[in-house]
Amino acid sequence: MSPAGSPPLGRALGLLTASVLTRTLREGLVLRALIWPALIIALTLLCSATFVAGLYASKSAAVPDAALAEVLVAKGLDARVYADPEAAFVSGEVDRAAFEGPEGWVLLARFDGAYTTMMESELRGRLDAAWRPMLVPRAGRSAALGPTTRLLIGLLAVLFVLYGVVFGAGGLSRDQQDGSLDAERALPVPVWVHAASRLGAAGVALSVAFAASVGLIHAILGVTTPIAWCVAGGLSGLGGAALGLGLMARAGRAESLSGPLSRGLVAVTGLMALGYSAPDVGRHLPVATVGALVRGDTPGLGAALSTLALCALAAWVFDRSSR
Amino acid sequence: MIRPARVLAVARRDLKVVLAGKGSWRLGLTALALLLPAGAVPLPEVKTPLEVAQAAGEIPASLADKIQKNPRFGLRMEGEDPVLVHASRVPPPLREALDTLPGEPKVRFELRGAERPIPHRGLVLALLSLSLLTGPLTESLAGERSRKTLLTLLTASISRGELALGKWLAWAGASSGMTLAVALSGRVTGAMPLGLWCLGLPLAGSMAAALGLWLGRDAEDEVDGAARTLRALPVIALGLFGLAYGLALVSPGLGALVPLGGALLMAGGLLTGLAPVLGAIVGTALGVGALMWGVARALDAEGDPRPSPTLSELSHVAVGAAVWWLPVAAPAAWALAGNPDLGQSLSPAVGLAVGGALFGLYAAVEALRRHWTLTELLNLPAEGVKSLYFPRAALVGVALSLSAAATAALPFPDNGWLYALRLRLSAGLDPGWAGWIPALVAVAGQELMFRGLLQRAVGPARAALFFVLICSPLDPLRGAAAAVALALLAQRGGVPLALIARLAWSLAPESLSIASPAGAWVALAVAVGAAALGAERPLGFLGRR
Repeated sequence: MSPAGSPPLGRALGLLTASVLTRTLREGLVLRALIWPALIIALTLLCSATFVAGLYASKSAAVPDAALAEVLVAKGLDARVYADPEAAFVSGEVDRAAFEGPEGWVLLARFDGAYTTMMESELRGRLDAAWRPMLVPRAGRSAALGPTTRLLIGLLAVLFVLYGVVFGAGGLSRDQQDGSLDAERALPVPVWVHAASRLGAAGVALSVAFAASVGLIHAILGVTTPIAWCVAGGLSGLGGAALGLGLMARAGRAESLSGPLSRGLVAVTGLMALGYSAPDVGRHLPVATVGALVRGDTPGLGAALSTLALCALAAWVFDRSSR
Repeated sequence: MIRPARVLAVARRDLKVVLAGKGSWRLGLTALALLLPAGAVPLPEVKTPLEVAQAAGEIPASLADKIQKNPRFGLRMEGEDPVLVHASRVPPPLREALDTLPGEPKVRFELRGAERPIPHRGLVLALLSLSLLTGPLTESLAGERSRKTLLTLLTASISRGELALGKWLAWAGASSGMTLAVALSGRVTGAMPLGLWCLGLPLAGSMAAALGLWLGRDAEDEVDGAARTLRALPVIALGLFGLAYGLALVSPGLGALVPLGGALLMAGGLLTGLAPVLGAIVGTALGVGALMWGVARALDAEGDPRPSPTLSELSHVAVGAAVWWLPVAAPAAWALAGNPDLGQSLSPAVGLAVGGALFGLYAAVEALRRHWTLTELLNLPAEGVKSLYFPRAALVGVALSLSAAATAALPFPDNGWLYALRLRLSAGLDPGWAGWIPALVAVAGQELMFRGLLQRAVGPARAALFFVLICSPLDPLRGAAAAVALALLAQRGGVPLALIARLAWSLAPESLSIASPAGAWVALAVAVGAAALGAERPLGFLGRR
């Protein structure tokens, strides 16, 4: 039961969280955090499309006989008959060439990819080879580009975890310096509530911003498990904020921001690397869930519990350092 | 004029302030913990998945000892005669194993692509050292500004240039010292031999220190400064490295000239010879000079300057276009890259919902920044909304739903990717086809953005113009008519009234649509007329609120 004259604890926590969140949003930090990933995605998309269109759109091929050319044209290649396909390839006129040399058939290509594989498949089929590559039909492919999008969202999640460390450590450092923390401490609420409100605000801001980014990538590329990513990203952002706040609180006023910030950044990088290299363990640990999910392992209940434990530890350190 | 003694004094002071107390050894230990494994620990040889012969599916018994079975690998084998390999490309080790089958190789495959040089681990060392600079650089300038000690420095008898250069010297020197020490220890452990690449480390550190100071030049405090550096420095570094790498394929000297990119190329061992090395030094010196000039000019600024109103309006258009076009229209771009199936397989309904949610988020955050109440964001009139307006809003919505054929008024090529873009963007005007929830999220987000935030901030005429530019750029006439009708409604009853019209428009049956373009234009005229009817100042639409 709260002392006479002091607000109920839950209400105080809610109001303080809303106050910190509003203050953060008004400073424009979260707004920029929302916009920046979208810009990265746009650039990535543009670069990917340009790269693919520029490098792999060439369909030219030189072959020695009309029948083979006809089959390849039917499959979408720009195949033409040349008396000397090798010379056409060497001169740069075409990007692929098939011809019969003194030791058997040769397939030359300037780059590997779907059209080259298609050409090799056709050639091997005609020669009754013991093996042949087969393109997976487009209709049979999943709309979601699994590993590619996992890596892309994984990189975004890393960015949000780093934001978490900055929000946790930097926010506390700034409030210590401008005196707003001392003003807040004059309120009749337990000290740990100030830490919890900061973590709550950071968690809400980062989760919403990350969910928006996941939604954006889901609309552009298709994500296999968007909800799992939102959960893992939100929890990891909160974990990053807890690490930053705990380290800054432990350093107190004796140390400037750079030390705790650097230690926090190294710690979250290490945790994410642990999650990536040992996903079975990482899926239950705070921050490491991001690394585990890049490998395809969805976060377990242990991740939520251990993140909450890390938040509790940060609040305890904050409480101790205030005495 | 730059006086070296004063530059050195500023550098010494900066190092003392940031590394005060336990900060020095803690930062040093952190740096070593991060850099030593990257530069000095001998690494075991690790093979990438494509360097191992592995496959999922059925591996023939004769190849079982040559190919590892990996059910999670994205390449599947099946059959015996012939063995079918389902993949878009066959990795060389697998090809080698398959060519041991009886009668093989029937076809000798030879890849004669241009060789792409691969950087060595010196590049990782340089990139990691950049990330270490975030904390100190933030504290160096943004921290001084927030603690008000920058004012004291500015009143001292040193020039702005000396102050900026001193701060740069402190952290360029610290970064260079650390990375060179790690490179030297790598020589001792045998992990990396010393060479010309070592020169790339101080060059990269110097340029990154200048870039970090420039990024945080007008940051209000350490958090603002750290967030700027964190999100921008890695992207800029990788972007410049990519640019330098691409240019170096054409001419190594050209790539070397790219500031930071040339230094990273050198750190990765991709630049050899005197001319490229000189190019990297010149590029870095020019880059550092330009950035320091920018920092010195910004030192007198009082925190983050407020953008001009025009810039602010342009930023609304840019953000609005990004958050709507990316999820709604960008999937059509896959067709350009030769993969139309992917674009078609992505759900347009999800894109609409995401775009609408992003509009709503942006409007809500922007309203919070402007200290608006919910009533202000919803653009509600002080005198309340007359009940008469609600059925009129529904009528406007139904009239708009009849107007789909008006799109045909403007000639447009009926094929190609531009047509696909137009279809996707037009579908966002009346998104009823996407289902209740995506349609509701999409129109609520649009109305909050255009009839809420923008109509209040920049006036109805500009808000309507922005609506056409962002939501209906390839169907402008119909979009403009709708924007005018909705803006007129919003003047009477804010976002709720416009939302009623949008919902009636989106959810009206498609069969109601008038087939002839002339009839559709009459419907649009009815919609605008009904929205304007009875207004005290119909032309007040053209003025700011």
